[in-house]
Amino acid sequence: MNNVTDHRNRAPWFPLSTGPLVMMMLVTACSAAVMSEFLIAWPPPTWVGWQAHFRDGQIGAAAAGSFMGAVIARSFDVRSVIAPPCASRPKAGAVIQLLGWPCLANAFAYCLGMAPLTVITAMHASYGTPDMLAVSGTLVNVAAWPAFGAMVAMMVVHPLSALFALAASEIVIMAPIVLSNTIPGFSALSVAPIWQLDFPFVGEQANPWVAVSRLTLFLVVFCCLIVVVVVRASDGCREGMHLRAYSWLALPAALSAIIVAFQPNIIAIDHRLSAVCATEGRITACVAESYRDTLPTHLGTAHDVYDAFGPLGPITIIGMGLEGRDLKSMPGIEPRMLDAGEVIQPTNAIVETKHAFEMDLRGSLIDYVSGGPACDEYGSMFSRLSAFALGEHIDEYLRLGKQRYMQSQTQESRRTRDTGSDRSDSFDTDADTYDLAAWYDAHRSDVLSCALNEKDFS
Amino acid sequence: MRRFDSVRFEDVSYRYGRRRTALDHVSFRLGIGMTVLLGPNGAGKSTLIGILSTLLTPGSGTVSYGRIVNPKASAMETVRSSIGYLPQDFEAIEWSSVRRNVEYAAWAHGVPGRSCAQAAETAIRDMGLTSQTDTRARELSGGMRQRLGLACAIAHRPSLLILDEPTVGIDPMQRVHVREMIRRYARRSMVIMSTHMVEELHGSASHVLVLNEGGLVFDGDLTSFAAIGNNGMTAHQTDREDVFGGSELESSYIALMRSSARGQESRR
Repeated sequence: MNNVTDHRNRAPWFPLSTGPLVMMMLVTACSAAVMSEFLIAWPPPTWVGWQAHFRDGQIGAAAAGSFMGAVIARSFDVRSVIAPPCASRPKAGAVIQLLGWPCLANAFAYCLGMAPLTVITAMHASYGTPDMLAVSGTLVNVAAWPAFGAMVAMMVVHPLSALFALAASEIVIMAPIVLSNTIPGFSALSVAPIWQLDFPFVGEQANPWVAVSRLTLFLVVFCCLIVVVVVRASDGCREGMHLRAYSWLALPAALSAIIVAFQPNIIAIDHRLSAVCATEGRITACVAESYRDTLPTHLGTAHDVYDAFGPLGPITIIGMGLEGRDLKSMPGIEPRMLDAGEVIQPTNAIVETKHAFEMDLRGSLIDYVSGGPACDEYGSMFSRLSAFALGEHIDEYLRLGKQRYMQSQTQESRRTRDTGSDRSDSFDTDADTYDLAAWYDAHRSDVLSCALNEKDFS
Repeated sequence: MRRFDSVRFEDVSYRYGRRRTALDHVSFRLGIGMTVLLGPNGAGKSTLIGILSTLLTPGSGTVSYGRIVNPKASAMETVRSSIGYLPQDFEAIEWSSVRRNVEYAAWAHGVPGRSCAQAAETAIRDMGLTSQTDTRARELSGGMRQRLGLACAIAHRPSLLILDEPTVGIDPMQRVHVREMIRRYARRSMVIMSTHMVEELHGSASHVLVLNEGGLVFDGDLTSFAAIGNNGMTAHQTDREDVFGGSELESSYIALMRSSARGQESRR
């Protein structure tokens, strides 16, 4: 009876049952959690990485929010029976009231999904602080998806409008990412390369003005979407009235064009972003400042290879967060010319586990010390095969551990001595009878000039 | 809530673009009771309903809701709060219960928040949906769904109830129920029902409007409408029975359409 009384006193603020709303929140939260990759332990959590995940994990939120918005938009359709365009309450209030809840719920669920990564980052990030301005921009963006879905639904006015909205949201969210993250790090959306400006590279950290621009853009887009829905709801989605409604999209479209042109993917390099380097012996490793925790791994892995096989000269490793960067303009790294052979840049420095990262870096280094690049350029097929075989041996040597490898080689040497064979200058690929590091030391110049041939591996 | 008990169309015209005239100098008056709006496809019924429900603004002429003439701004809200509209193939919130749908419809039409539940309860009861109060809209059968639409349209007790083909697509038993409910509502309010089914006139219509090609070709009570058929039968009895073999109301309708077509041809 009390329930009945409560129910009677309550204004029907939201006609949708809580089921679809909860479903939307679940989809948003779960997809955000998956996209946040909170279970991945590598690279070490950084606030920059957290922000990047927060910004890029919207695929599920966009789909769920847009779908929900499109469903709600049916209430304002000319065929609506619960709130038709001829209903007497002002449309703006009704639209804000109906779309407001899903917008808030979507943003809340998104934060919920990102919570595990947030906790992990808060526990482990040793450098920097979260940029709440940038995060606010992302949250406004997430909140706007139901309004976007409603707008699409009122544009197409179709029984399957929710599916149209879902598809449109995915296109809208994916297009800038696909167009901006090109292999060289330039954006296809940007005019900046035409003007030969120093940006944009696709970076991960936005400076405050970019964050303010993004926040402003998303707020303007959000408001304009709501206005479009209100105007369409007022005119009953009639043909011939499109122009009046959609003219409200001109402002955000112009703003988007300007901002995206200068800051593609609305992700821009922070010109103040600096690198941090550490040197140990002849090896220098540099990473973006936010990835400073990975420096010991860079150095440790490099030492594994170079202690045994490295060339005598200095080597610089361009590590995490610095992919595609021009070191000359990077604060934190001494501006000097680097020899081509002096720089190692891992091909895929951001990988999912620490082990995979070590393997990746080690692979880059092994490729270098086994003469791979030289043989690719000048070598015959046999030379290339020799370099490849040597690389495999070096990898095996490092993988098994030098100690164990050396022990086995010592035993083998003893046996060889006992049988009286002498293979002092060739490299036996089946049973290495020499210390690999020593052999390499003796043949380093041949290896690096790609002068090895079949004979050396016979 | 301000109420009105008559609606007057005076010389109302409406054009889509420059060429197509949807309504051409239409005048009539609606009072308490059931008005059936008949006409073939493209006759201008939807445009007339659009103007009546305030979705369209007449190109020329006046529409008066009681004392409010061609309402705008706040007067529009007053008028709208006294209009109930049930579109054909309407959209309800499918995942929500009957109660939530009707409550929100009441609220959207201006019923104060505290009274929405009561208004919904009354409308649901009037439409015989009490046992389905907590059923989701998507789980309702065709006839029940149509009753839900009617409940939403009358939840705020409108003075003018506009129904667009309300009995299309439902089985005969449900159709009888829906007609009965509409008839009951028409005892104390204005109801206008758009249809192209002449049988809808049986036993329910007190007033008949017939549109053809944007012009009003008949405006009168049911007896006068039936009389057209009777008169026509005298003149073309054999011919009509052979071709149509229908009721006298259908005969009236056919006769009207024919005479309208002849009139238009002679004007051209």
